[in-house]
Amino acid sequence: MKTPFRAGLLAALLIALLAVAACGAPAGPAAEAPAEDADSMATEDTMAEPGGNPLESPVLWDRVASGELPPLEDRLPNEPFVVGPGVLLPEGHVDWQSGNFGGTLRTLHFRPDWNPDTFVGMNEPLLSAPGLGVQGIRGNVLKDYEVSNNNQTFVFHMREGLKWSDGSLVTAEDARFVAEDIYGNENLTPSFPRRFRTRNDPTGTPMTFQMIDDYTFQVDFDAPYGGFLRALTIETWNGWSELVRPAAYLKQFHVDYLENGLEDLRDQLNEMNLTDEWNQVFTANDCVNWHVNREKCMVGSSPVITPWQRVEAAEPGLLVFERNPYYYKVDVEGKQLPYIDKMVSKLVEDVEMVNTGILTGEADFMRESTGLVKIPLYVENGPAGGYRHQLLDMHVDSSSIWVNQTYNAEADPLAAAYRDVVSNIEFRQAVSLAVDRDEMIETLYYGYATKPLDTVGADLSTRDLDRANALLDSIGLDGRDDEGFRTYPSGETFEMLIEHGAHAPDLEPAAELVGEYLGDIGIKALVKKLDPTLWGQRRNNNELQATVFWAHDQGWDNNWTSDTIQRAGYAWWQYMTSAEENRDPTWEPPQWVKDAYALDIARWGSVSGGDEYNAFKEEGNAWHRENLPEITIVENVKYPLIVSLNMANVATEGFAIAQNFAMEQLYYVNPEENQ
Amino acid sequence: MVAYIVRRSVMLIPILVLISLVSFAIIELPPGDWVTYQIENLRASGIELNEDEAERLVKMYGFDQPAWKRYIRWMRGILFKFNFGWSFQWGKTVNELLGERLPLTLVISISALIVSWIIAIPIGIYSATHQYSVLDYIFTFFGFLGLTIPTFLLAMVLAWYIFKLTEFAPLGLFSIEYMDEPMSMEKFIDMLKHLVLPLIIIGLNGTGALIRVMRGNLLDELKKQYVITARAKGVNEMQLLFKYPVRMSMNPVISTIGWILPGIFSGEVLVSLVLGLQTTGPLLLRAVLAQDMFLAGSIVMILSVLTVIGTLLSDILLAALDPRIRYSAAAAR
Repeated sequence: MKTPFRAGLLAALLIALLAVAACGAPAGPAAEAPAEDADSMATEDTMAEPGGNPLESPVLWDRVASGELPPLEDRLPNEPFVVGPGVLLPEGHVDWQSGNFGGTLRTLHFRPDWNPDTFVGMNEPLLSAPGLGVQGIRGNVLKDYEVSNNNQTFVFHMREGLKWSDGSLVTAEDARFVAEDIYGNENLTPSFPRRFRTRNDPTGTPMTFQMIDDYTFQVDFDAPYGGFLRALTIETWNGWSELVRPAAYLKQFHVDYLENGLEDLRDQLNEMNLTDEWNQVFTANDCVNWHVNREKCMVGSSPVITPWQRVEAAEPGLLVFERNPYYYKVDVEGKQLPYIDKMVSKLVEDVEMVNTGILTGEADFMRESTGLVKIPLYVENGPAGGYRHQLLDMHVDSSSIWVNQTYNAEADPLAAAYRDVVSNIEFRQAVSLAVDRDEMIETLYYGYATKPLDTVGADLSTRDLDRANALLDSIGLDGRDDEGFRTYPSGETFEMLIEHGAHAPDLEPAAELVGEYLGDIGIKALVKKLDPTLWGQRRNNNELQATVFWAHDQGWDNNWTSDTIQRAGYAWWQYMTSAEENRDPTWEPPQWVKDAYALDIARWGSVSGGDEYNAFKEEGNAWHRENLPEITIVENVKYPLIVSLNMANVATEGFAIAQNFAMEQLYYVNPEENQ
Repeated sequence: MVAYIVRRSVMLIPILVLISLVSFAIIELPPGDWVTYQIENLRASGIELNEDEAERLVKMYGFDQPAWKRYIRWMRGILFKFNFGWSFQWGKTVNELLGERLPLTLVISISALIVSWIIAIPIGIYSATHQYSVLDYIFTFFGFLGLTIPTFLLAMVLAWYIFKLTEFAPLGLFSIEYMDEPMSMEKFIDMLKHLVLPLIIIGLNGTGALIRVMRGNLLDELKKQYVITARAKGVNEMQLLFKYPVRMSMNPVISTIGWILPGIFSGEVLVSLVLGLQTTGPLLLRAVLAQDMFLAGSIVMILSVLTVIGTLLSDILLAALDPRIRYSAAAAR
């Protein structure tokens, strides 16, 4: 009894106990395994006994033969969406070929249940246009549209026979349910979405919705809203769920449709630790387009309309998507898309680990987390890893300087003085003149970028220190401190804190360089790197003095002029986007800021892509050059898209994210090499 | 002894209530909430949410309710239903998430712990009994290396070298081709291959320190008079060593069980991050960063509870092991 072995025995018992607990725990996930088994068995059987419709993927043959799935013609709508050259991407952007079925696309993500690449790849907007443009808007989930009454009345025709991924029909009831039972329900939608208000204006009148028959509905506005069709395309990455959601499924969670009201949701309320907040239960089951990576959009939960749908995975952190047998797109030969059967994305810890994964060949496709600065590494390791990089256009401008003209950190006694200085247009012009863009384009972007001619103009994007100094002297910053830095008229040193979140690999060196350039014109600039979340909080609290971030500016056809206001002055943006009664009069913006909003509303009124529209867009650029709401560093930046050497139908021109959007037409030349 | 355990257990209750309050408060401290984090994520990916949409999300997830209401709701779930609440980030219950990750975490932590003890205790004993011998110097050298090299750095460097030399990337638990397959013999072997590196790194992490502790304590004991007396009386050298001085020098090792228990539960955060292992460590880190409050709060609370229980366990073990502690407790009563 008094031996050390007794202690050893106790310790061993303790460990054994924990081990037993460990073995007992994983009962949940294991129970889901049979579904996976069934699938892999199906593949084996197909190989043993080939046969099936050549227009559908062989992985579906057994499910069709067994009667689990109806034959292909009964799964497709009467008029499927036909993909061929120049349809998803403009002619000339890709050498389009009809592809092979099969293979698995592997990729990586670093935020739980959020992979922007698979999201954009699966997202299906209601309407679409080639290459994510504004020209040639046509049906997508909806079949087509008619516009009348001076762009106030829109009639939409749906695809007869189009099915959700569980095989149920998509009808106008699915649209009515969204318009009336979701947007019309205060608990679910406290304020009516701006997109469905006249001219996309937060103060505009909401649409009126009318269901005409099972496959037709009509939307009316009280004033011309020529941009409404654009508002239903990929603009701001919206999708089918803006107006079409699986009503039959969602009615199970909507109190208005439940026999016993709230009580029918009691189990789920209990599970979520809620008492009567049925709207949270509804949301937890409501799979909208940007949730496609989540469990609530999984097979067995909400049906979707996307090319692939998430399924159970063997490992936590793994996102696995399998083809949707009811997907509504076919190629010109009649083959049902997508060509690739499966997508698998692995969760890693951060953006650097994503790049490590790329280098070790774990990604067949990757856009969001790549960087120009990593190209030498991609080139070195690509042949061994079986991938290459394709340079494409970035849909955002890679970097721009934001000077917050409403900066107001409570602890800073100089906040008001700072605002007085930076709200002078001369100050922003001087900053722009100080930046050596030639050097930045050469060192940070390897020449794959241009000067910001659209948003800054040739004059202000050419370095001229004398002119910059003169501009600063003219606005009362002519005093200097002991170290030679400029001072406020009151005598205190003018300091500018540039805080950045290093969201992309080029932002950190860009911020450091900007800090140095400002030093050249006597501005004491301090550069600091923050955690992206903290950066976001400081921005939301209006505590950032200045930063370097990317910009969705005018170069992107779909963009908003007023989007730049949140970079010019965060409080102005909050003021302008809040409801009238919530506006803080201290932050009423100057006229030039309000002009941007007026410009947008006018642009939304015009027909997207038309002459009037383009004139407003150009006016927006001129407004940008005149007011410099943000100081764009470069425009037309390229972006390396990582693709497997085995992958075809890869774009060689256009936006990288447009290729993302056309993922259903990617295929493997030899699918068996990428299983 | 029984009374002692009961008394200690009753004292746990107020401590646990306090812990739950503090962990909730800490999570509430930073400005913003999960919704703001989520909006930031979407923005960083180029999806702009309007202010009204943000407001809708805030209401939807109940962030417009006061903190105390959310706290009470959370505690009620834990106490009455053993439901740790909902993770906003992952869209499922905390129980489910922990259920997915605990098995792997426990396997890695416990195996690493055993590896570390198996290596460190014999080496510590050898070093102490053969002080200043060549092997002692070698062990001391490596012990200090193990003590000073940060594990995450070692993990990164080793992983890269293994990849460069063998084209095998020891990241994650499975190679990509097995990741979404059901468990099979090949998959199991693949997993074992991936487990070697984390086990060595996490195991060696504790080893260096444990060797030093073991060696130091045993050296102290070996010089004591009872050892000399026993030796003078002709007790067999091995029996003498293991029956008394080794036992005494194990005391500090046993008292660390209080820390080992939560350590086993949380996994090695940094190593897991670098090697991409889906353990509870990275889960906690993400939850805190994303202000996924019920998930973060639950993990912090479970860790604290385990620390408290671990301390209790180590006290009991010590009492069982060391008669001096047992008798002094009895005397005090």
